[in-house]
Amino acid sequence: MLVALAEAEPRYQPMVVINWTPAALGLVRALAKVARSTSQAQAPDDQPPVVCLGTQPSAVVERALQDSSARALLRYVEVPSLVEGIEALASVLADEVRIAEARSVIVLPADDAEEPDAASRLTCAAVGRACAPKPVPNILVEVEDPEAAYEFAGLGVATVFYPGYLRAALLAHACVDLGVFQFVYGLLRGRYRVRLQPVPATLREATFLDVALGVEHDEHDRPVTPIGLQLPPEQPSADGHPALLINPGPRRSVRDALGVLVLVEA
Amino acid sequence: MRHALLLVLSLLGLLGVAWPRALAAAPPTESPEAESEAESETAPDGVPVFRWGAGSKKGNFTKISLALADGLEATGDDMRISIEHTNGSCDNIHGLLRRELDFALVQYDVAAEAFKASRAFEQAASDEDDDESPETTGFMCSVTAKDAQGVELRLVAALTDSAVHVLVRRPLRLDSFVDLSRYPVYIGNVGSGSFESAKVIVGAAGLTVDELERFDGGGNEAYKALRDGTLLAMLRTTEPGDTQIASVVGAGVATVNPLPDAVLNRLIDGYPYYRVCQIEANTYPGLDYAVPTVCVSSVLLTALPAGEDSAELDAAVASVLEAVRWVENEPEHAELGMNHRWRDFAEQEPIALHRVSAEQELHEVREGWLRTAIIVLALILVLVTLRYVARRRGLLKDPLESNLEGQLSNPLIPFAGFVTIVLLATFLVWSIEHDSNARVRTLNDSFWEMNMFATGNFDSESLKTSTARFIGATATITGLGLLAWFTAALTNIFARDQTRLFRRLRNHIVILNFREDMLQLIRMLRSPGPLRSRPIHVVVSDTLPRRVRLQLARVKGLTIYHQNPEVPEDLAGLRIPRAARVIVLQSATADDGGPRYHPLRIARAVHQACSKYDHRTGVQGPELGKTGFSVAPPLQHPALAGDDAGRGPSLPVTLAEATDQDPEEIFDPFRRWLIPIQGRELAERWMATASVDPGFAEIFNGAVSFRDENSEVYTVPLPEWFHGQSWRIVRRTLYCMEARAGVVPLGLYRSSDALHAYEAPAMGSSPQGELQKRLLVNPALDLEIRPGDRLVAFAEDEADLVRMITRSKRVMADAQRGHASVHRV
Repeated sequence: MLVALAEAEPRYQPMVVINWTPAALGLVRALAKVARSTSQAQAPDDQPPVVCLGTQPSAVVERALQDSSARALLRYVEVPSLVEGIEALASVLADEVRIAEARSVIVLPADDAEEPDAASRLTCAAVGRACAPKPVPNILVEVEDPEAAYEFAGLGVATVFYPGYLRAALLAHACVDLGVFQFVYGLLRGRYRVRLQPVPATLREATFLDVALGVEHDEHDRPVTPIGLQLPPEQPSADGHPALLINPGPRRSVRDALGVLVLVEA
Repeated sequence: MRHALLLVLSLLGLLGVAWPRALAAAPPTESPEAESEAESETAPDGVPVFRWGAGSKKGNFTKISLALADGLEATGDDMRISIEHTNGSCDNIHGLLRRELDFALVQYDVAAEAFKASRAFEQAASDEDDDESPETTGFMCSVTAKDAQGVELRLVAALTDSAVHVLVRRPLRLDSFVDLSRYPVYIGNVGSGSFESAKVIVGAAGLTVDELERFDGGGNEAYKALRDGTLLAMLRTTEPGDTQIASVVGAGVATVNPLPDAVLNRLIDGYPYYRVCQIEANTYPGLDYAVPTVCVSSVLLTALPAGEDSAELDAAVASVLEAVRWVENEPEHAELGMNHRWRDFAEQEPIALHRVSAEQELHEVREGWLRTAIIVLALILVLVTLRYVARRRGLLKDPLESNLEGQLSNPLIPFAGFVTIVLLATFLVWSIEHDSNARVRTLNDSFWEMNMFATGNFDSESLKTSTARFIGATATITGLGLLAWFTAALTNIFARDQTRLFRRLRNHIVILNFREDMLQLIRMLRSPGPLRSRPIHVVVSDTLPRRVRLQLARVKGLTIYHQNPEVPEDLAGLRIPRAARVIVLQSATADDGGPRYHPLRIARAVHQACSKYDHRTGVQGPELGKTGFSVAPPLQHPALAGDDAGRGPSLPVTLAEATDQDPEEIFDPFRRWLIPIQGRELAERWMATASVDPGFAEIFNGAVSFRDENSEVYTVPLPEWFHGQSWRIVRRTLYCMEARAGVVPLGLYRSSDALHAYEAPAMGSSPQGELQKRLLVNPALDLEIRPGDRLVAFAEDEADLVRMITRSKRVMADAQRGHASVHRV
């Protein structure tokens, strides 16, 4: 959604999943769907949108995917285990996967690791080495222990995801208010999306109230709802992402905003 | 059947108590042959006239006598009385003993002393070695044993009560009655009951009448002297509320002095014809406290020659008693305070009842017990009916939970037992001793005394009779046992993971098969954002780590259950049909060694638990949820063994966590009330979106987490001034408003026309699909708002949003005029 403003690039930018097993085939489907829904162009040689990395032998994975409809969505790469050190993994990531050019990287917990979150941290370090000196792509790490989130600071990780939090949030909203639950569920299912659009030139010096009253429809004349502003980072953060301000209040000036966040129906 | 047995036992118990007492009340039965004619005159019209001993012309006895004469006339005029004015009780008792009177009003202490004299005569006559002459007198009113020779006194009834009043001129107070000898005192006219009572009272204080500085004169003169200050103390035996006493007390001339406890006890011990009582607070103007004293009853006596009785006297007694009842019910004579009693008006009552009175007492006792039995029976019937209704409505606990073992750990049971023991002992001890023991003369005294006993402070000196002491000892032993039980139960509760004495089981949230990673859910439910905090009931397995249980135990309004979520009976106590939501979770990983419960099996158990619950909780449920519904309508389900297929259960909205291995279709049988949540699939979608767009993660997390520093999504009902307006007006109005933060209106959550969102005809596929249709995000700007629509909006918290909505009327008017300016509330 926020990347809607980004320029589409003609080169191949796969989405990489590390520590993948055939059990996570649903993630591949979800990634493929996201890839289709965004404006990114397909690679000229019709490469699969997802590259999956795992320690399972390729033959085993091939057998598991033999009859799956999702087979065409991914390319599987067998990588060395972390037991052999992160250099070996970094080498494969750099040479075979060209991870520096990946659109995003998802690090799943390693099922066979004694401490999956520690293994994920080492994996992120390997990604950093493989990308050097280029910047790391957008990295998302799934953790098993939410307390381990802070351990990923400084590794270029954009998002740390704890699935328990998502389940808890959904169930909690279902308990509090079914209407809100429906909204959150729809947001998650992609029924509603948040899009970034530029502040109209005539409203540059105005407030959020003026923008909210002025922006009622999108380019297809469908109703939209301005929900916030995207602001430039006041201080350079580790991930360098701009700040998002939801419900800034009617008096908030939009002069310094990079754009307006609007809620649209997909 | 059990109730019937209890009822029969109760009635037998009542009769068992009633009969011995009634039989004991019966006087010695005279054989018909022994009866002889009573001496009485006859009026010119043939109505028998009996001689009646009253008192002074203006005295209370005379008032009573005149009232009874009226009563006799009003109740058939079968007999008449010839009222003879005397000096009071002494003259009356002498008149009776000399057979000069047929009936007489006498103070009971005087009467009992005379009766004692007659017994002394019989004893002396049978003891040939006794040198004492029958003329020797020591009894009240100088009644000698010889006077009482050959006369049987019979009690017709006790009619009124008198209390001994110790009046002292202010500011004098008497701490010791020995001080009475230092002041001029009036103790009544010689020959009156008041005088005789005063004699024994000062005797109990260790004085004789001769030692007193007695005021000679009549009662009126004595009151005048008291006002003048020449008289400083008075002993008067009269009914509480006496007008003359009220006059001097109200004028501040005198006050009522209590009888010291030592005098009280000595008096009761020596003359058990009195009883301990108190002059209640506010009986007299300015008397704000109760004054302990002794009371004595005025009784109606008759005398018959020893061993003889007569039908004529029986008829006369019956007529008099009828007249007594007439006077009691006649408002004109209410000031007399007449209330006939057969017994229990003195510590000891040696004079036997006249046989007519005894018969009437027996009749009254039977009638009383019959009335009691009817009341008890009616009460039992009401209780049984209430219990039946409560059971049918599911208000009573499940029988599986109500066993004795289950109650042993409940500290309220021993506490209730302790209270019961104290109350029971209080009443019994008071009943036994309130007439004779100054320490328990009121229920209040008895209550605190029994509290001391039941907490282990037994004191044999506090009680006088063996029966009362036995009850006190029983209260002590039982009380100590119950206190020990109470302490043990509390200790047991504190030793558990959780102490929860009270549970709220309405509109609650039930979480079944809780696991550790769902602590996040509990934290969110107890976050500061939502306005309403529902009680949470969590069913955990034994494998849940203790540290997690302890963490849960600290959460406010959360109750932990260690039960099997797949067993419907185990879920009965959770009152699931009344719940707002039920959450069914997957089991933790397989390697924890614990049992693995499947959401589908738990869902079945939920359905069965609701089926077993009383269906009459109503199709709508006890309370509609804030979104307009909380309970699904009856489910069309196949008949199960033991179930009534015609009635379906009421089921709350249930969310079941499903896995990738569980296709949604497996929950189809429950689709009308159950929403499966594919946690892993949703997580993968989340990761897929967030991996290409980190902003999504930020927005999503901000929207769902109830934190102070960000806005979340809430719904609130739109007030009536928005009804009929367009969404554009609502949107413009709310964007203009500001409280702690602004409002971002996202859309509407429409109410359903049907009572229930899951009503069968309205529902096509699943509740999820139906709920989805009701949510309108980014609605058309000209969409009209309908009653029942709820606003979906971003706001700082629910309270903030509600505050802004309730103050939006004026802002809306501005918006309608096209004005757009910020309004802070």
